[in-house]
Amino acid sequence: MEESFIIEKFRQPDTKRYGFNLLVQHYQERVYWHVRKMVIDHDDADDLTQEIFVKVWNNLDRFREDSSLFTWIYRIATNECLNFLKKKKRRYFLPIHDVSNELNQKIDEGDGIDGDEIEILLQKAILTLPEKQRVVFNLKYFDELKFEEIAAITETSVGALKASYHHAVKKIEKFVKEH
Amino acid sequence: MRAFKLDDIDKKKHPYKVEPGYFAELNNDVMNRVSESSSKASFGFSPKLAWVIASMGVVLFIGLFWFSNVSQPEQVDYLADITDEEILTYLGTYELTDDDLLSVVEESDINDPLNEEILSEDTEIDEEALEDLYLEYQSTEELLQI
Repeated sequence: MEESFIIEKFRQPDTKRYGFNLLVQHYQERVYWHVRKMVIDHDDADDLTQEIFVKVWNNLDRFREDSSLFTWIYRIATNECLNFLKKKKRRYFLPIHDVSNELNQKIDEGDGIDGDEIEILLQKAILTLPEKQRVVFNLKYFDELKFEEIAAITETSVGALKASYHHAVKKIEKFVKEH
Repeated sequence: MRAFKLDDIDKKKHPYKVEPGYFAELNNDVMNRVSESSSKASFGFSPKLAWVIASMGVVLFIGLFWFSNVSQPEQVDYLADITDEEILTYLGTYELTDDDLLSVVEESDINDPLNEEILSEDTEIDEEALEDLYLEYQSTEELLQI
């Protein structure tokens, strides 16, 4: 479905809800999985995904189409995830490695997780990365976005992203080898 | 042991799962949240704004309470337990300095219509009243000399 069709429907008062419903149907799965890989817990991912779409609803009138709608929604989703993790860190007065321990525990508990050993080990390896590097890795590795698209989402240069991704891959391979 | 390479494993697979039908439910939940958000927005009173207003109210209340206590210290009538005689005895032994006299003059309200009347040139002074005043002054002097 064309992004422009969704935007056009959204901008007409009588088809606004219809346009937004199309948007949710079109992007909800990608947004949810992007969030889920960042926050691990299903309930957190569910709540955050809903909040992200509420933000999209409240701000779509101001979307100036400088970037694609998809990039814009992913940017909101990424910011929400990073803010969520930041708040979590502040709330418990814990350094970041403890938050990643907490996320690791959620993987071990196995609620809503059903993968083979290497898939789980890969997720644990990803959790050792700094949060922004995790975003870059997930967008490149799982969502198979182009570096140019990731650059638009994260507002970072393509060169810096390539370097970040390369380092992330090395760290993950080292972690998996050692475990 | 051969070094592990990411390319060795099936790409794009992650171990996270959701219940069947979850995304249909998510769609409904999002639309419900949006409806709630719209009705709140039309009311024009976001939870954040409510918190800000409530906080300001509390700060204002504490501020008013604090300043009203600071500016109006508890008034104690220190002279209530002292008899008139004791006061007069004290005044009799106390010599008024120039500063004391000046402070009395400064404290008196020169805008007081009574004072204006006294200071007015047109005011006629009754001789009887002057005599009464003199007698009163004399009796006070005697009292002070006790």
